[in-house]
Amino acid sequence: MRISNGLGRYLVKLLFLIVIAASLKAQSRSFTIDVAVNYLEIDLEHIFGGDYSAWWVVDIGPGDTASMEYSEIVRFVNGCNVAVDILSSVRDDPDSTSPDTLWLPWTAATHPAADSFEFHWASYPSPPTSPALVDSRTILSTPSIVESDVPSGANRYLHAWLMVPTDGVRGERHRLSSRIIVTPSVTP
Amino acid sequence: MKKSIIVLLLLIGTVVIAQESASFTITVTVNYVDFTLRNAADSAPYGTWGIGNLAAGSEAEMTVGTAGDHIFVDNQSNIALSFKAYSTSAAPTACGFGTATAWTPAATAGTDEYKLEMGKGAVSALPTAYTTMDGGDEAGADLVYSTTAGEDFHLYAKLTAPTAVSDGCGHSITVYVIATP
Repeated sequence: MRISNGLGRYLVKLLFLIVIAASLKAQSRSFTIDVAVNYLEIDLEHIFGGDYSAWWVVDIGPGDTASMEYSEIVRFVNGCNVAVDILSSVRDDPDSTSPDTLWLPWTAATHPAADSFEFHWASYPSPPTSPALVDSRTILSTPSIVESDVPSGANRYLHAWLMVPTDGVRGERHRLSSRIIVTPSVTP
Repeated sequence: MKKSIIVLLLLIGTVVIAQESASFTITVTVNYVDFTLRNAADSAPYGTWGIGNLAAGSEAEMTVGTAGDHIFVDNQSNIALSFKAYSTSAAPTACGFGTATAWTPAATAGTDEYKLEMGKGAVSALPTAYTTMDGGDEAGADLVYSTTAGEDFHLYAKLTAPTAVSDGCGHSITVYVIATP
């Protein structure tokens, strides 16, 4: 008896299909930058408090020298975050609305002379009880150093001397303006 | 007509079916995105660019060489990528100098605003051009450089300090580098 295979040949196809999730999304990494900016802030105050107003020099004769009293010392309040140099300049600054315009402006100089005055600042770390002219710097109309490398946040006490011109008229009045300037001691 | 006798024979036995098989291969490569920020010498992970004090409005730029402070981007990805960046900076802790105020990135340095620029250079060469990164979030990230698969590169940054600041405190700026296919 013949038995025939009616199924015939067939092929087995086995398909393996692996589906993997979609590709990874963006990656992020980070780094840090540490930096500070020079912050320069100062205040000028009276030694006993309050914003500094003016140093009044009265009843002084030609060629004489005026020195601040203890109560007239300027407290330099240092709000800077870097070491600074303290500079200053001075000039005769007449106000057109006041009597001091009646006289010729004085000139800042290294020695007093006719219509020329000499001005000094000295800088101390604490209120000076015996300030000395040898501690000071001559201040002219262009900024010059009073003290270098003052540490960040370190206050100072400024004492001034004024040598008036060798000439003058009784009742003569002048308004002298002195600027205090700070700059970073070392430029980054 | 003869009746046919249909004899139904049931044969029970083993039926052998001839078999054949064949196969084929599917090769799949999955996109792999990964990179690290390394120091210029590629000897350690990159952490901080410590600039220190800057004058207001002045610039600081990363330096060249394996001893420099620029960044080596170690790209382990197997596809082309776009590298973008953005930065953020929170208000610092009060330090006694002014009022602690957050900085923000900008196209031009201003009050409490810094300008961050980044570019691709070489180990011993600064970038020929920088791109400003003034975005403050991922959506605003700016393109730094596009790489081929696995391409490493040297990354440089340049910072322009704010032209004026509300405080004299130390600030930390976090720079995010993002790689996308």
